Amino acid sequence: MTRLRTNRATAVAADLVRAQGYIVLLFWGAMIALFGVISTLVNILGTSHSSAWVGARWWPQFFLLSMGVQLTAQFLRIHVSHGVTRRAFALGGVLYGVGMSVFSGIVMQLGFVVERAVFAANGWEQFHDQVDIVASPLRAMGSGLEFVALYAAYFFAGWLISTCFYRLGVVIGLLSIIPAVAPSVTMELLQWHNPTLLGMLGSAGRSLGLTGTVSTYPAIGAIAVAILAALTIAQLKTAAINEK
Amino acid sequence: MSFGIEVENLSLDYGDTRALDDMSFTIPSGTIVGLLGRNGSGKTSLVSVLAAFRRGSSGEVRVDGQDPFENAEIMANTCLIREGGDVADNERVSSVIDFAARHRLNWDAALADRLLDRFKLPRKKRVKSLSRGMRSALGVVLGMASRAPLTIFDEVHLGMDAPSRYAFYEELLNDYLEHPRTVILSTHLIEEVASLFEDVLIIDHGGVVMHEPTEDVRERGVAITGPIEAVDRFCEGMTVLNRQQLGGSGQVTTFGTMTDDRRREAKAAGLELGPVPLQDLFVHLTKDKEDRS
Repeated sequence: MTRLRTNRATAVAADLVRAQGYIVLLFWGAMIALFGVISTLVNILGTSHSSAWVGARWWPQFFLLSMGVQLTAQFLRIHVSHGVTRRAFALGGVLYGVGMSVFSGIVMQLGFVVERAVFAANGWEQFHDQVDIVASPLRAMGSGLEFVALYAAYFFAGWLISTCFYRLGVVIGLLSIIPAVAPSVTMELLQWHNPTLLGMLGSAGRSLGLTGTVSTYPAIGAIAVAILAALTIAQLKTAAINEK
Repeated sequence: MSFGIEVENLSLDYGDTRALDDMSFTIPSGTIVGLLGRNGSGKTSLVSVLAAFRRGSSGEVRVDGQDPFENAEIMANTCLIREGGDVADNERVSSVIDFAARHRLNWDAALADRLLDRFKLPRKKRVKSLSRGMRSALGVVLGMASRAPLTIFDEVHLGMDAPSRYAFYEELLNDYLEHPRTVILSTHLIEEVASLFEDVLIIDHGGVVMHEPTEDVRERGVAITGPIEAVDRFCEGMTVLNRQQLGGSGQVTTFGTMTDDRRREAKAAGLELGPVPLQDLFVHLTKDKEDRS
């Protein structure tokens, strides 16, 4: 029975990759093309040189948010009606969400690595604030983990929101948006070293994200993701499968 | 393999509305059951609970002796096909079939392939561009090829044209004979499929009105044919379900079993006795009380 459940969860994750994989590839293809062009234009035609890929960091999080939003609305009914338990669907969704976040984090970091090589070859400075997030393998892994945590938080926020809409209706669905995205927005502000937020939290000992060594940030992100995922799974466990 | 069903005191509420009201019945494994009921009688709610699409508010449901809700083994072996079709609209027919093949434990790819051809379903077409009849046929393919020990068709064939519906009935019966399993067929087209049913479960206002073998149900009434005056005279005091007259001849359908003496009496009066159409009985049994009087 456990084997059936595990296989089912893996099958669900594979289904989701099949269904959305081409959109993911299109998205990253467009991102690489767009920021490749921007970087080329800015750095070749412009007088000052700086990372263009930094500007790409916003996009994956909203992309993952939208992927999370689609999960319950599009795939729950289809899977349960093909004999998949809600539990297996939820587990498959978690696998998929984590997998997509890891993939996005890796691509994001690879972008910085490639850009770093290009900048180094031309004698340009990639990050003006002297923070080089891919300065060493350890540093790249640390900030990569931050990206993964941030993207996962957005993915699971989207999934929770759509599940609240599905289970509890429009009003509670709308009300769920702010608490659901609060962890990811906070993480994002901390990652990019928002002075107001850091001031509120007290900057001492909270050197987060891109400015220091590997921080507590991924751990905070993991907790936020776990809470969002747990709330989603709790909603899904007894969800009725209504007709279209 | 086929699953038996036991339902005890099952109720289901949607807010203040009671869809299923203290329902109890059992369905032995390996039977084709006709689930009949008027619109809003609770048919879809009942099959949704049986297939673990939703949980009942109270009471017990056991499929193969187990609670089906979130039961991986039971759910994997139960297939409910609803009229709307629970498939991805943007996908091609071939992808929908592949999806089902990946998830259905007893999937019969050869049968699916043959049925796609028989119903002339274009494999490359997207589901959203299929006609209602084609979507229904796709549902039939998914349900039949799943070979699930409990297969439920909820009004799935309503959108199909007559030749396709008869093809479905034929395929279902043939496949059932080769691979016996429990099949529940919820439908409004009673007479068309009545010959398939081994048992009939009639529900109304969320409760069970009748659950008997089809032959026993048919014996609950008699169709009396002959000269209309003689028929009317014979039927005095009986519960008349339907009366049809053509010139001097007529047929009256009555409710209630007939004793051997009465049968002999009818024969002596030159009247012919025959079985009652299931549909007439269904209409009578599910009429509102005020309509019956």
